[in-house]
Amino acid sequence: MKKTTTFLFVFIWFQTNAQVLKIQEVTNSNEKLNLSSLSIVDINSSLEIKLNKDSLNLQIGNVTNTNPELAQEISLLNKLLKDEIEILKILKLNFSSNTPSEQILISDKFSKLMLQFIEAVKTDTTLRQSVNSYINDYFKLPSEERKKYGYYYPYVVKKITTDLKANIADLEKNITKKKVQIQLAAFLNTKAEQNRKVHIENYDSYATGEFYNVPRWVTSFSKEDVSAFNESKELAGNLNSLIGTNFKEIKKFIVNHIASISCYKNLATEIDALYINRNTLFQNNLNVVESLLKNLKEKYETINSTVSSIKSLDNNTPQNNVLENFNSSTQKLLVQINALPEEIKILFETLPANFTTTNSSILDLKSKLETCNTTLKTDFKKIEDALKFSVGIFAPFKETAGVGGTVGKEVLSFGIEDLPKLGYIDLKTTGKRENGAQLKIKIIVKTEKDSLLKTPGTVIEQQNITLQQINIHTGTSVSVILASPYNYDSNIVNLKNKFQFAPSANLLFKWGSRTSKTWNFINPGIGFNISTPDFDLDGAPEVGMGGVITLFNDIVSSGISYNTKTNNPYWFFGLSLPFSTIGLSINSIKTATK
Amino acid sequence: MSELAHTIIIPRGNSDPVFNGPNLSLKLVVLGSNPNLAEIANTLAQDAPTYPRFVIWYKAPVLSDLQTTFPELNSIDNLKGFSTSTTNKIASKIEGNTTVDFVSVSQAFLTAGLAEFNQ
Repeated sequence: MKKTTTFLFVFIWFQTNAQVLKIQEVTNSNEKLNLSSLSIVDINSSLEIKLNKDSLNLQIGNVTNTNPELAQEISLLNKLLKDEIEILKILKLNFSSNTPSEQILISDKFSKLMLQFIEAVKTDTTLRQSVNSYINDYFKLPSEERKKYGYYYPYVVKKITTDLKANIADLEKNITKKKVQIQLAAFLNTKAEQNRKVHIENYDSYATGEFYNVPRWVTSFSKEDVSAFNESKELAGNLNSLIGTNFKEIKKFIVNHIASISCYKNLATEIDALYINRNTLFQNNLNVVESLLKNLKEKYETINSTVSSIKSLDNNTPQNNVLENFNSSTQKLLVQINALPEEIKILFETLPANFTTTNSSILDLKSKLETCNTTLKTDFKKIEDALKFSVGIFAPFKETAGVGGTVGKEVLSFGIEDLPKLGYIDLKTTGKRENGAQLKIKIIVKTEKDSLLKTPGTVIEQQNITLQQINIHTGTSVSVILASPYNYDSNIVNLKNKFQFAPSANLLFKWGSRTSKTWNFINPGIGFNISTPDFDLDGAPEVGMGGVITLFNDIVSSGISYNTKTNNPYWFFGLSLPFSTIGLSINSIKTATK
Repeated sequence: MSELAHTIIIPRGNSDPVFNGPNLSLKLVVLGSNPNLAEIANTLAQDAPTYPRFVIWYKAPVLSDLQTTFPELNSIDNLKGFSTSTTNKIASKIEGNTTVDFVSVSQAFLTAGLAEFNQ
C-alpha cells in the first residue's frame, strides 16, 4: 500500500513537473536533435515544437482549478448507468418463464445492486438526504401511481437522474466560463529589435500579412474527468442498446403472450358468423341482438386497435416519445380491458332475460365471453407488470442514458486533444538575426477573467533558445590595426614609431557550438586579412595581405601580413570599429525571400 | 403516528404467524422506544420486491425472551433493531449510533433479502 502511494506520488509529481514543451532542432539535413541543456540551436535550422498534453492539462488545472463538483456528479451518473445496465442484463435471462418484474425481483443480483446503491448513498451526505426525501415522496404517491414503479428504486433513479441532468447542465454552464485560451507564441530578441513575433506553423496563421492567434480552447478537466465523460457516453450507448433489446422483448411479450387477445379474436370471428346468420338465429329479438353483436364487435375492435398501435411501435432503440406512446397505449389497453367485463355484462342486460337463458347461440357466446374474461384477468396482471416495467424502468433508465449521452458534449467540443500535435518554426523565415539572438517560446494561458480584466494571461512555461551559426561559416569584419613591420629594408620603410595605424578588413572562417557558451562567447575566427598601411610614408597606402585570428566577435584581432609594396612582413593587432563594410559572404545567415 | 399496518406491536400483537407461519417473509425487529424506526420500517414494508416484509416492534424487549427466537442474539443494550432473513436468522443490526432513515432501514431489509440467496 505504502509502495503504491509512493509510486503514485512520484508519478503525479513527475507529471506535474514535466515540461509542457518539447523542442527539437531539425537540421538542414533533416536530422532531429534534442536541445542541449544550453538550448543553443543553429540559426538556420527549423524547430519542431511538441506539446505534452498531459502536462499541459495539469498545468492548466493549476491555473484554472479543477471541477470536483462535476467529477462527483459524473461519478454518480456512471454508477447509475452501470447499475441500470446490470438490471437490464438480468432481464435478458428469459422472458417466457416469468413476468418481467418477477424475473428481476427473484434475482439476487437485483438485491445486490440495490444494496450496493444504498451503501454508496450512505457515504454521501447530500445524496443520502435526497434519497431519503425521494423515498418519502414515493410512499406519499397515490397507490395507482406507485404501482407503475413497482418499487421505490426506479422512482428514486428517475428523481436522481432529473437532479443530475439539472446539476450537470448548471456545472457545464460554469465550465464554459472557466474555459481557457491557450496560446503558443514565439518572440525573437535581436540587437536591433526586441520581442518580434515569430510565426509558428499550425498554431497561428497569416492573414493579410500579419499574424493572428488561432484561439485554442481547452477545458480545465483532469485526464480522469475526461475519461469519466467518455465512460458516461459508452455506458449510455450500452444502456440504450439494452433498452432497445428489452423494449422489443416487452413489446413482443404484450402482443404475443396475451392469451385473452386471441380469445377475443376467435370470439370476434364467431360474432361475425352470428351476425351473418342473425335473421335465422334471432328472429324474435333481431334488433336487440343486432345491436348487441355490433357493440361487442366494436369493443373487440377498440381493444384490437390499441394492441395494433403497440405492435406498430417498431423501434429497436426507442426514443423517449416511442416509450411515451408505448406507455400511454398500454395504459389505455389496461383501462379498456379492465372495463370490458362490466361493459359486456351491461350489453347482455339489454337482451330480454328469458332470451338470454334460452337461446343456445347467445348462451354459447356468453359462456365463451366469460372464459375470455377469466383469461383477461391473468393477462391484466401481465400487462400491468409490463407497463410497470416500461414506466418504472425504461423511462427513468432512458433518461439516465440521455444524460450520459450528452454529458460533456459541449465542454469537450474543443478539447485539448484538438490542439495540433506539432508546431514548426522555420528560423530562416524569422528575419534579421545574429549569433546570440534569443528566441523565446511561451505557453500562455488566458482565462475568462484575464479577458475581462484585459490582463495578458499566465505564462505557464517559457523556453529560451539561443541562435548560433553552427559548423563552419564565414564572416567579414573591419578594424583598425596597429601594424609593426619586421625584416624590412630601412631605406624603404620609414616608420619613426614601432607601430603604424592602418585600416583593415577580414574574411573570416568560424564555427559555432551547440554545447559551449564559452566557445561561442570567445567566438574565434581565422581567415584572410587585407590592410592598407603606409610604411614608406609617401602618402599613398600600400596593400598588405596575410592571415588573421579574431576573438570576441572580431573585437580583437591579430595576425601576420605581407606588405606587397615594401616587400616585408608585419604583424599586427587590432580592435574592431563600429562601422560595417561589404564583405564576401559564404554560408552566411540566410533569410528567406518573401 | 399513523396506523402501522405492517407492524405487529409486542406484547399486544402476536408475532408467531410471522415468525413461524408457512409464508416466507423478511422481518425488521424494532427494540424499545424507537417509533421513528418502526414508522420507517412500516413504510418500507409496504413495498416488497422479493418476500413480504413485516415489522415486529418489541416495546419492552427482554433479551432472554428474544433469545428463544434468535439464539445468536447476545445483547440488546446498544441495539435499536435488526433485520432477519426468511428463516429468522439475524441479517443486519441497527446499532444505537446508526442514523435511522429510509436509507439505513432499506439497507437492513435488503441485507435480509440477500441473506436469503446466500443460504
